[in-house]
Amino acid sequence: MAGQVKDREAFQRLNFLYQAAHCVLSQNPENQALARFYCHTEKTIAKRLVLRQDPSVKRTLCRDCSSLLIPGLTCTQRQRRRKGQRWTVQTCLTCQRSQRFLNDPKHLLWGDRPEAQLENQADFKPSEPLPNIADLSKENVQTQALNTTE
Amino acid sequence: MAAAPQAPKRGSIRKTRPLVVKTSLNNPYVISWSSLEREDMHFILQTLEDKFKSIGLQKIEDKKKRKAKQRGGLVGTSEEPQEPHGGVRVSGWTPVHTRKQLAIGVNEVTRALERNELLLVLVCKSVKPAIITSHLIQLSLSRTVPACQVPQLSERIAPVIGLKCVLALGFRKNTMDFADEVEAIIPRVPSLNVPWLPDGTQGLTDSLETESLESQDKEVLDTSFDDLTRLKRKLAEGGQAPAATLQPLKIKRLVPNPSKIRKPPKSKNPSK
Repeated sequence: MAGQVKDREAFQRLNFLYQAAHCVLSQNPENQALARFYCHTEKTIAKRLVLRQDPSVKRTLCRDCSSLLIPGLTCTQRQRRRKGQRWTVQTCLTCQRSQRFLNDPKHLLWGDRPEAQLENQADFKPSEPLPNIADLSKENVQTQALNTTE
Repeated sequence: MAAAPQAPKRGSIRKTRPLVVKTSLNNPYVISWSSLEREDMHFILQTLEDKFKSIGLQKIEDKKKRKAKQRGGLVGTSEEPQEPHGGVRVSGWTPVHTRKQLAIGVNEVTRALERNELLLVLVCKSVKPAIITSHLIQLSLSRTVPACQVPQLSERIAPVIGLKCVLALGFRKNTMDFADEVEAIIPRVPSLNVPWLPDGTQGLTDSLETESLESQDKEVLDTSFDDLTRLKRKLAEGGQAPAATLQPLKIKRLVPNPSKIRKPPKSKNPSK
């Protein structure tokens, strides 16, 4: 799956750190500081090397203190209703920072859609590049100007 | 007047731009509910439905009161539901003691699980989006509480109790009325699997392993240096696999969203 990737080693390291944080916490829930250190290191590497992380990974890390967010252990998760909308509120128990996610059944992240996957794009190979909309509009204006002068 | 610039010819060659690909680190863990067999599903739903009907657990709401509350008219009234002349409750749960044995709703179930007060958790499968109940998997497994996703739970149970929907249902440890039902349901609940959380059974084996290792340590203290090397070899030969296995690297390769409105790049020298 991760065949020819530019920063494969870096991704491998991020993957290891993320799993190490989980492993450390599962073995002993008091190892929160160590798990936090691993997650902070992972964040720093991703930032320095400009590597993307899937939203499912980013949502499990506290944006403030870099804690690994595990429901019932390092964070609480509640359903709230406000202004006629339902939200999932995740609160970090280390720094009390809360994140809200809108419970919209129609909404789907671009990364989770099938058309976003590169595997599904393999069959779609345009013979000609798609024209730029701005260029097209200019061309139309120019042709109209020519017609009027004639 | 200068001549109008001609439009580019139709057959002009343009360089084909390579397809932009965004690589991102995907979550190595896939956490999902275990599938429940059809027979078990029918059994669970039927058992609960019959029990709720026999107990007569229902939420009765006084619509007049509700409207007044929405307007903000109730100021001096007590919060407890008042009983009229007949002694029948106008609003609230009919057998209150039975209601206290249950945790109804996602928030209540979550709270009860955090306090380790539950024996069994049932979650509706028709929840959209899944994020509403996904945290209950890890939570129930960390508290060693059997939990499963039951299709049509809300559709079948909610009308019986007098609610619009029941997304999660938990049975408390102090339950008396539902003890037999819980005992009957628990064996039919499939075990959950979270890759980084050790199962209950695994925990037992781990404790046994640690005991054996401790006994080995005692032996090591008594043995000489020559025997130590032999013991090392034995451990190396019969070494068990580590409890946590490293999941393979998963990388998502995405195409940029074409419908996303992108800001034009800022030029370093702003044109005057």
